Amino acid sequence: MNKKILIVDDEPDVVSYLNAFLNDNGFDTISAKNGKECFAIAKSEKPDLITLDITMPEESGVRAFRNLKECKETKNIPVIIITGVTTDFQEFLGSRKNIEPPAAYFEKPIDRNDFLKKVLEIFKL
Amino acid sequence: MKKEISKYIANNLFDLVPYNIAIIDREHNIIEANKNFREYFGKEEKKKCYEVYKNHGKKCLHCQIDRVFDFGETVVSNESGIDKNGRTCHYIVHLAPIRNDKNEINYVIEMSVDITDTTKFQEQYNLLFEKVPSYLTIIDKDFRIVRANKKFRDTFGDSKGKKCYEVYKKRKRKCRYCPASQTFKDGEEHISAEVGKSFLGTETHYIVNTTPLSTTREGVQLVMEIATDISELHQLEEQLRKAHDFYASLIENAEDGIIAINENNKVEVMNRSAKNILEWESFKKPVISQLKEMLPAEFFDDNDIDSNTKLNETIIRTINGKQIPVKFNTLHLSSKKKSIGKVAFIQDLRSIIELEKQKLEAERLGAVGQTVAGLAHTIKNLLMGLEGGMYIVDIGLRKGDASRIVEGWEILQKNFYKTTNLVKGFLSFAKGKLPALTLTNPNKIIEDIIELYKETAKSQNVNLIADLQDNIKPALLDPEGMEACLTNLLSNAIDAAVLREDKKGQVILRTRDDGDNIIFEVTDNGSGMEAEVLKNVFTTFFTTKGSKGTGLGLLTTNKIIIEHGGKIEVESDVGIGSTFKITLSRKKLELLAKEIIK
Repeated sequence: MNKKILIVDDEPDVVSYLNAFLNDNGFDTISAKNGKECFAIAKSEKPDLITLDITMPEESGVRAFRNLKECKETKNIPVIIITGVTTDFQEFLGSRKNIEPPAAYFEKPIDRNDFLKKVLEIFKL
Repeated sequence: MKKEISKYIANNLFDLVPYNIAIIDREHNIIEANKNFREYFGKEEKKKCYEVYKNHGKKCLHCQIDRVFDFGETVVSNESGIDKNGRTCHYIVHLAPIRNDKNEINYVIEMSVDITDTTKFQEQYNLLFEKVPSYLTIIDKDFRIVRANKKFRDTFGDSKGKKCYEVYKKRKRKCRYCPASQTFKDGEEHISAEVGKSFLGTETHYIVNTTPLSTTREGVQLVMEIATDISELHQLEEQLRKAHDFYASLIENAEDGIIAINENNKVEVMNRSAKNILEWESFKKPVISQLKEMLPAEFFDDNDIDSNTKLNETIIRTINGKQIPVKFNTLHLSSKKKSIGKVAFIQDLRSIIELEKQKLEAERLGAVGQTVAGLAHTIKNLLMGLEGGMYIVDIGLRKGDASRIVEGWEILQKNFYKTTNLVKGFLSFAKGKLPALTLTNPNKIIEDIIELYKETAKSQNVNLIADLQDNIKPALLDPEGMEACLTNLLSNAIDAAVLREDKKGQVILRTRDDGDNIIFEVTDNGSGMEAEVLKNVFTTFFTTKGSKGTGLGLLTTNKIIIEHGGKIEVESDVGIGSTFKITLSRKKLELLAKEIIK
C-alpha cells in the first residue's frame, strides 16, 4: 500500500504542485488549506507524513504543529515544514523546549530532489 | 614815652589785658592777681597758687614756678585746672621771673589763657578725623603721609611717613593723575575716582577729594585727602552688571527669536535668533514701520495690557520678503500696572515642519522595511507556484498528457499575473505621492464603490448596505485615492463576511461628518481578527488571505490616509466582525491643499 501524505497549504498552486510531484513519485496525497482542517484530517485519516505551511489564515501552522504534537493520536506522525517565513516558527520552537522539532524544514521554493530524498529517508525507503 | 601812656599802663593795663595774671612769691603765695584772674578762679587773697589753680592742698609734682625761680627762665606750659565754678579748664601758662635791681628773683608772674574751648574743638576735630567713615590722610609736599585716620590705618596699615601712592596703590612712583599735586599747585579742591589695594591685597574703590590744609607764602604745605570707599557700591554695580549680562546673554542666545518694543514703539531688543529668522543683518535695530512689514498685525494691534496673543502657526516675512512659518507669542510688559512695552517670541517652524516630514517619511520607510519580510514570503509562494506550474507542464510534455499541460499552464499564468499585480502595488506603495485634492462629495465615493461591488457581493451572498449621512458637505479629498482605500476595505470586508457558515454575510459602508472631521466606516460581520493580527494590520506586509492577497492592501490604504493627514483605526472581535474607521480632518485637508499648491 502506498504511503499517504497530507499536504497543508493555503496556496492552491502549492498544493497542486506537491500533489503532482508526490503522486508522480508513488505516494497518495490528501490536502488541507489551514491549521484547523489539518488537525481534523490528521486525526481522521492518519496520514504517514504531513507537509505543513506556517503562514495560513484561520489557524497558523505554528498552532497546528503544536496541536499535532500534543495530541496522542497524531504526535507520532512526522511533519515536514514547508514555508516562506522562517522566523515565526523558529521563535516558536525556541520558546517550547518540550516540543520536538519537525522531521525536516524546507524553505519555499523547495529543491524537490532534496525534498524527495528527505521523504524517502523518513519512510526508510 | 608820654606820661599819660605810662600812667595808663601803670594803673589800668594790669586789669585790662585779656589774660589771667597773678604774681607769686617763693612760697607760692599769690601776692597779686588781676581782674580777669579773680573772675576766672574766684578770690585769691592769701591763697597758694596750687590751691587756686588746681584746688590742691599740696604743691604740684612738677612745679613750673620752682623752675622759674631756680633757673630764671621763661616757661610755657599746658595746664589743666579747676575754675571758680569747679569745672575742669585748660589753659596755656606763661611764667616769667620778676627780677629786682640785684637781679634776684623774688616773684614770678604767671599769665594764663583759657583754651578749654579750643581744646574741646581739637578733641572734636580729632574724633571726627579718626572716626569719620572715610580714609583721611594729611600729606606734605613730598606726598608723605603726615597723619592718617583709623579707617585708613585699618585698611591700608600703619603708614605714617610713607608716600601716599605707596600706601594707597602699592606703587613705587607717583600716580600719573594726582589730585593732591593739583591741590598743591593751585590751592583748589580736586576730586577723582581711584582704585587702590588694601594691605590684605583686596581691591578697594574710592573717590578721593583733596583740600588744602595749610597754606603759607610758599604755597600749600599740607593737603588733606578725604577718600570715600565705594568698594561696596562698586561691588553692587558689578553684581548688577553681571545680572544684566546674564539676562542679556540669555535673551541674546535664546533659541526663540525675541523682539521687544517699548511704550514709544522703539525696538529695544532683537536677539540673534530674531535677526536670523528675519534675515536682519544691519547693526541698527529696525524701526517700527519696518517691523510692521515683517511681523503679524496682531502684535501691533493688541493694546489690551492683559491679553497675550498666541499664534500657533502664522507667517512672518523676512526683511527680504521671504515667508516663514512660525509660532508667534506676544506678551505685554508692564510695570506698576502700566504698559512699558511688548515682547514677541518667534519660534521658527521650518525645521519642525521638516522634522515632521522626515518622521512621516521614516515611518513610511519603516513600514516598507517591515514589509520586506512579508514581501519575501509572498514572492516565495509565487516562486513555488511558478515552479509547480513548470513541473506540471514539464511532466505533461514528457508524458504527452495534455490535461497536465493545461493545468500547469494555468498555474503559470495565474502566478504571472499575481507577480505583475504585486510589483505594481508595491511600486505604488513605495512611491511617495501627494494626494490630488479636489472638492468631492464623500457619499458619491461610497455610492460609486457599491455600484462596482454590488454584483460580486450578491454572488457571494453578502448583503451590501449604505448608511450615508444626508447633506454631508463636500470635502477636499483625492477621489481616486479614497476610492482605492475604500475598495480595499470593502473587498476585505466581503472576503471576511463570505466565510460565515450561515451565509448571512453583511457589510455596512457608512459616512459621517462631525463638523471637524469626515468619517468613513466599513463594518463586516465576518470572523474578526485576533489581537496578534490586529497589532500589525496597517504596518506589515500582511495577508491572511493566502493565495488571494498580496498583503499590500491595508498597507497602501494606511499610506493614502496618512497622506491625507488622517488616521485609520480598526476594531475587531473574533466571531463578531470588524470595523475599519477612517477619520479625515477638514482643517488639515485645507492646510494640505495650500501646501500642495505651493
